[in-house]
Amino acid sequence: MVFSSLLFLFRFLPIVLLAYYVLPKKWHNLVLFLASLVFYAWGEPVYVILILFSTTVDYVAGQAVAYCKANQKKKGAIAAVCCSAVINLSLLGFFKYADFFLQILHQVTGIKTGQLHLPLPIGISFYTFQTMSYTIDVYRGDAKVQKNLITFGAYVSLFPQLIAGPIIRYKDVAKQLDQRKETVSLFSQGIFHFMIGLGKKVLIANQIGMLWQQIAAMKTGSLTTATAWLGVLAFTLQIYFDFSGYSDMAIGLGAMFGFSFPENFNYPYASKSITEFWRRWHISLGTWFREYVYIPLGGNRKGIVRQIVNLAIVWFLTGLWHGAYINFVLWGVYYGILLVIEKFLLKNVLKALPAILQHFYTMLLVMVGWSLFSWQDMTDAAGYIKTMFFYGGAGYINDQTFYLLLSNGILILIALFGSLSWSKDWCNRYFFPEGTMRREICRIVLVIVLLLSCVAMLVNSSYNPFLYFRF
Amino acid sequence: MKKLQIIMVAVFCIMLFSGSLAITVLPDQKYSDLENRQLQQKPKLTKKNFTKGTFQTEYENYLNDQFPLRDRWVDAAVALQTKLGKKDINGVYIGKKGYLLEKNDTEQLDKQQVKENVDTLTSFLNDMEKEYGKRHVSCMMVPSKTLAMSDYLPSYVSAQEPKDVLDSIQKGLNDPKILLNLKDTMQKHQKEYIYYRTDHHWTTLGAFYAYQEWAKRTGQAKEYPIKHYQQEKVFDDFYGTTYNKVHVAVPKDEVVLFHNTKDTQKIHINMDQGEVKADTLYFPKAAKKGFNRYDVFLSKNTFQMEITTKAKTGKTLLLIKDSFANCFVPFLTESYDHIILIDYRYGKTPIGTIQSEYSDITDVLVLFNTEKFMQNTKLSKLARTKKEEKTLEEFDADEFLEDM
Repeated sequence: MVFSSLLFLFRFLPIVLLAYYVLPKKWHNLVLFLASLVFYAWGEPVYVILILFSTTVDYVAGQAVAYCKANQKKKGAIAAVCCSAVINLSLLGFFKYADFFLQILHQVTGIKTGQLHLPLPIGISFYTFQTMSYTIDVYRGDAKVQKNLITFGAYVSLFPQLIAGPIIRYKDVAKQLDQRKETVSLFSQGIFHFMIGLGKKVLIANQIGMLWQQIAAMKTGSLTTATAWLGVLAFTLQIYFDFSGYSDMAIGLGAMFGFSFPENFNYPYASKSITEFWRRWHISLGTWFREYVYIPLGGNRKGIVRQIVNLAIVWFLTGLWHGAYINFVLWGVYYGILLVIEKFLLKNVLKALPAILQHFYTMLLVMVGWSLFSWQDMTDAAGYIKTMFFYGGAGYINDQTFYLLLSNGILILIALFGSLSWSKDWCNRYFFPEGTMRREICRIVLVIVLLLSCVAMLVNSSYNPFLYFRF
Repeated sequence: MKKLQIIMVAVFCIMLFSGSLAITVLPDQKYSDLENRQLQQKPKLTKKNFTKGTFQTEYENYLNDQFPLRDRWVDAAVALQTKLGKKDINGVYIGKKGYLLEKNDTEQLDKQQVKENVDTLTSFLNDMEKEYGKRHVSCMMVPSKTLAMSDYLPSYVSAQEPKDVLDSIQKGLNDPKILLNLKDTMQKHQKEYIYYRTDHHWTTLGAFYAYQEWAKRTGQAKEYPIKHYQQEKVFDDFYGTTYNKVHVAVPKDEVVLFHNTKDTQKIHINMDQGEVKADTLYFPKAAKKGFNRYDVFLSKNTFQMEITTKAKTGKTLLLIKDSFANCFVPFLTESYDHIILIDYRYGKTPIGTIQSEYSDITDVLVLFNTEKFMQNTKLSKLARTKKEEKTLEEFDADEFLEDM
């Protein structure tokens, strides 16, 4: 199930809200756990077993770690952590990467194995990372063991962030799981956050995604240099509004049930360097890799060579995490290299540049990164990137470029406005100063307008006139 | 401040809950006139349906299809998109002066199918030419509205012309003059009302210009000035199929009939092997009841139709057609005693059988919209002419497979 559907808005959410707030507090986590299982099973009726399995494994592993630590058995605790990591990573490896590895095996050694063609279980990349974080947190003493299986199940499968993050570390929500206070203030903030996210997804990402699809479907021969850039711009905006919209919805929904989740995006396109970009983009993933991979490997404490190796490992894995295709790996490596260059060579050069050039530098590299990210076939990617930097198959610019720009210009401007941090500051300062009555009223009006517009667009997306019988 | 927060929560919850309630309480609709299809009904929940995922899909479709005031929401969404400057919605260009023009996406066409259709058509025309003589066979290709009315496209859009397809038809013909590409004729009259604004069909006026050009170029029929016809406006409330795809505020279309002033036209029409008989080419009552006003011409599309006139010319025309011919046919009734209309989207009798059935055929005309011709998947029987029929075996693999 996805949030941006009539099913979620007019069936699932009202029912869960009702059940949650009608039942007494001690039932709350059970309601969330069951609701989350239904939410998951709606799209993956069979794979729901996987999530239950992963939950059970880490519940047991957590108990074992706690027991071993209490009894001074360090080896036992380490074994339990390893068990959890091996099982979770095997699940992920098998369901997400099996075909990818088989293909590489085939290409390298020539052994023909055939492909498994398993459908990817939704959200497996997110929940396996979450369950692992729990066992590790318990081992490190960052969190207490969770004795209640239902509470733990609610954490793992929590539907707001189940299928697209943010990846919430156990220690961040450990307290909230056992005792949280649902308040009107938090609920209303949650509504606002959720509606902003829904608007980002339905009104901007889906719309601008159509422009990208249209351009991506063109043959290299009919593409101009300018159209190629317009396409990448569309994809750049689509992926930000889509992903951050989803995170916003997750955070908003969490707040409706009394949780405070950390932000996952912080205006990444306002960054002045790639290093800064990754501090603002998909924050929870970066944090996860830093906490559970980079730092345990030694981080920057073991000399420059070791640090570069550590960075290489982290960015290879970050790329691979995004999907079992070579383009994602390359995309990760691309960022790894850029970050190393920035860290050791460009840091001071960049700082000396005017701010506008720093932004330009960052966005140029980010957009090239996205054009790599968006093509699963490397020949397509190469052809497209070539069109971006050289004379396109249909020249530098043509009527079609103008048409696409004209037809989507307003939407692009709105999206650009919404993706830069100064626009928010500007609005807050001049129109809706914090703490004023006007601000609150405008927020209510905005929620109403957004909800109505999103419903219209969602209904429209299913509009499917059948006309062919009498052409 | 606290009060406003409570209001926010209340507003949100009321909207969600009232929406949910409305879906539950309001009666389900069976059919959508606007979309012209059956709407999804509430699916039954069984274990098998759920594990297979069909229940989930159907239930989501059900919610979408049965959403209260569905049509109004769709209108609102289209309005929102046009407000944002979008010039094409649901595959339709919002053109100038109220014209809605369908996008012709040539990259979506099945190239193999197009090639087959071209081969079928050329071999058919070549056979016909051999059988009935050079001056008795012709093929008219009507450009799509988007191409014919390209002045009305939004700025910076240029219509795509299926030039290679028309060229390859021409190349395949023994006598290339048989092919009549109407693109220039139609574009010349762009300023006039030759295509409906909200439908993909041409108007009777458009068909008239095509008729003039055809009569002049082939000499198969007599060319008359426009004064020869008495015009009658039958509808002024026509919203066509293009409008169904995207509801924007555009004026409704008018439907005009061209009557012959000389009343030599005692017409008899016979459809579907005699199931429907009438003494007119126009069916305003039926078209008014249904929701497509274009049905006023010949009432509907059907595989086989036979028109008998009192023209007394001693000529019989075999007309291979699609729906564009429906408003063209009235111009032919003065030139032929007998017209046989065949529309291969609705039947599959080999053309050879039809030829044997009507031994009086003297002339052959093919009238296709180029776009629909390229998309047509049912043309193959057109290649089974009388000559071919004799050489082919009785066993028909296609039919055999379809019957299974």
